[in-house]
Amino acid sequence: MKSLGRKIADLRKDKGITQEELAQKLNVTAQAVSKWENDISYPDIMTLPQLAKILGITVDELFNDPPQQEVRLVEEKDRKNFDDLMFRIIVDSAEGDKVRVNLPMPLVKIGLDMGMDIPQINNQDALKGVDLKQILDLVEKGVLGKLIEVESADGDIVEILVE
Amino acid sequence: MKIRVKSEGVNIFIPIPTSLFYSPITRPIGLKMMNKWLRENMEKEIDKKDFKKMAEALKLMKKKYKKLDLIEVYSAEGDIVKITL
Repeated sequence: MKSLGRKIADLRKDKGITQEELAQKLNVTAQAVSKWENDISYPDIMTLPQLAKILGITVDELFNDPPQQEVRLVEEKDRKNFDDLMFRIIVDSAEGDKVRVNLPMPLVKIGLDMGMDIPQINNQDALKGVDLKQILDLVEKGVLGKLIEVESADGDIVEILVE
Repeated sequence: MKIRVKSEGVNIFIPIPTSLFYSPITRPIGLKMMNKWLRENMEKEIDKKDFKKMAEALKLMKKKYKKLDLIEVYSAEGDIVKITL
């Protein structure tokens, strides 16, 4: 389960607002927001409804994980522009290390043109057999969500999401 | 682009002047640096044309996703490494 800080940070970035802007809206300091996001401290209970509103979710959703982003086919009329999509790699190692890679699609496409593949982006052997071009073809056809979930022999979990 | 490393007693901040990549005068320096890294780590190289394409995309993305964390690493020991656009 994502920590509260991690969730606030992710939602804030998805909304395209900076820590300073969020702090200003909540009448707190940017340092306070930074501490929340790093799980050093937590928002005041009275701030939660406004925080959830700014982040576009309910207070309940702030504390509970949303349903897993399963793979889905999006109709052409409902699709986002390809260049507005984000390619995410999430690695949770068995030792407790966490890696998050967030790449705007245009950069992924250029990387692919330059002959890069996923293990080179993330140095993960678990993904060696994954064809990045095939993933991009699927995305272009409207397949979004969690496209890959791999558990390596060492217990590392790697997920690839396109949203 | 910025690289931040936070570890016990260590707080490193490395600004990478990506604006150097945008200008045709300074771009060869960036290309040389990148190819050195690619040769050592991936046994690959990129050409001028691809590098220009990448620099242009980077510039656009920087405008669109201000301060996006491209890579975040949280080690089990509490170390944090972030590469921000």
